[in-house]
Amino acid sequence: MKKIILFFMFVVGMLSAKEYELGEGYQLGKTPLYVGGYFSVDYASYSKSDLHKVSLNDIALLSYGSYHKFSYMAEMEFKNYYVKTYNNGEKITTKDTKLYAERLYADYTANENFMARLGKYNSNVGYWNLTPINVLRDTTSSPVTARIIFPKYTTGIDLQYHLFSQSEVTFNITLQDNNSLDEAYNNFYIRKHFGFGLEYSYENLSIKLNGGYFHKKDHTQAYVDNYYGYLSFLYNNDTLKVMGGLGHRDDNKKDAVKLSTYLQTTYEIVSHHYPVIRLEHHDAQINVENNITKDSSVIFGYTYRPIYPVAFKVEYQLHSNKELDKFLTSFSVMF
Amino acid sequence: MKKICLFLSVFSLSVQANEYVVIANKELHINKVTREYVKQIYLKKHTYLGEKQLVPVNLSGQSSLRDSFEKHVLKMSKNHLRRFWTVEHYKGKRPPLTMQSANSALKFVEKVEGGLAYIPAKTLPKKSAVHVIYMWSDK
Repeated sequence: MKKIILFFMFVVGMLSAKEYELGEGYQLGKTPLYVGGYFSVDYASYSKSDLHKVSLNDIALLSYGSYHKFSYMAEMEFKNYYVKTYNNGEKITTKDTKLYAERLYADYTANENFMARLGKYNSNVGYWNLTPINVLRDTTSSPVTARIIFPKYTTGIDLQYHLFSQSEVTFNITLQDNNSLDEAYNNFYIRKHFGFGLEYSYENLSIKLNGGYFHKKDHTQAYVDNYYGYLSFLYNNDTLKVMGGLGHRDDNKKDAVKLSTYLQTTYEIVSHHYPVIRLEHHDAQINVENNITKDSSVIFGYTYRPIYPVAFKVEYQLHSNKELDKFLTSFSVMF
Repeated sequence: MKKICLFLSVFSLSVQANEYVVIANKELHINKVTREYVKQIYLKKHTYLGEKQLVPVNLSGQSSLRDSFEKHVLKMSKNHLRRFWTVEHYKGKRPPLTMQSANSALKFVEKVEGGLAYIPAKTLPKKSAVHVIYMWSDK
């Protein structure tokens, strides 16, 4: 609890600083160093069972800065700091007070074309995975596709090559051949990850193709080879945002995930008000949730942002497997 | 005839659009560029030219020139930019520096090797350590 009080004292101190704007971080004196962070409070209620969950999670502090050609990012986070579950009249409270290193990396920008990253970072796959935190998402939930195809985090090297003209083309390769930093925090326990990405961006549209291999620990604690392919896009103008992803993953049994896909549209209907709709489908041989391997869903959401870094969200999920139908709401802030 | 000439000259003045230029320090070996290229620099997607770091500067948020720049060059609304920079904050990137006036932006670009700014075309001095890389008008 002391940690949370200290966290909020830090936030209040920052908010009271002169020339500070919420969601843009705070500069430490005249140094090129910045701090910021985010948090979220979520509530979930399943329609077909008496299961409700309240959680205070994603409490994170960011620190970053740059000096000449070098820059760094450190993000420390309490994940599921406080979770209260009501299941058929039974109350269960869990607390995870461990502080995890969500991201910890250094960048070296050699010139206009070449950049190298070393450390733990969001795997450079698709678009959802690059800004996965609640306050920056348009819905409280994330699509299943974002967690069953590829490792969310990589601890290793990411090499990027950029070409600029009227458009931008980026090629990257990801290399991990070592233990992961805070691996319990990742969606897969991995020791290896070798991937590539090819991205084309023009004005408001970006398209990306990723592929790769990773070595994942399965339920028998044995390491299994996995291969994935992922195609994604993002279109983002003043009022409309459309994004999607389509992926496949093989393990040594083949077709661990035959197909997983999502398509989401967000439209700023009037200032500060964002209705959202997301369609999802996955067909897998693995247990995705509640021993369900195949599901289709439509998610209706609405987000109110009095200012962009503050989000109040509600959503309702309708699934082909009715036991997964649920209502979600959250409050999240970036500072 | 005089009246017609007078009317035409007043009319042409009234429809003449304000012209603006994006300037770069002379040490930056950069020729005329496209609008998209300027946008990539101001969104900090393009941060180096060769091995030289690019340092774009904005005018303050209340500046009408900045409004014109955002509308005609970036083609992004204030809300869209706010959204963009909040996401970039999560990625560890900062928006361009801000200057209070076009004159201070000009002086900054004259002094800083990788400096870039936008100013009204009519305020561009004839002899200066800057060169024009892009032009636009309010038309």
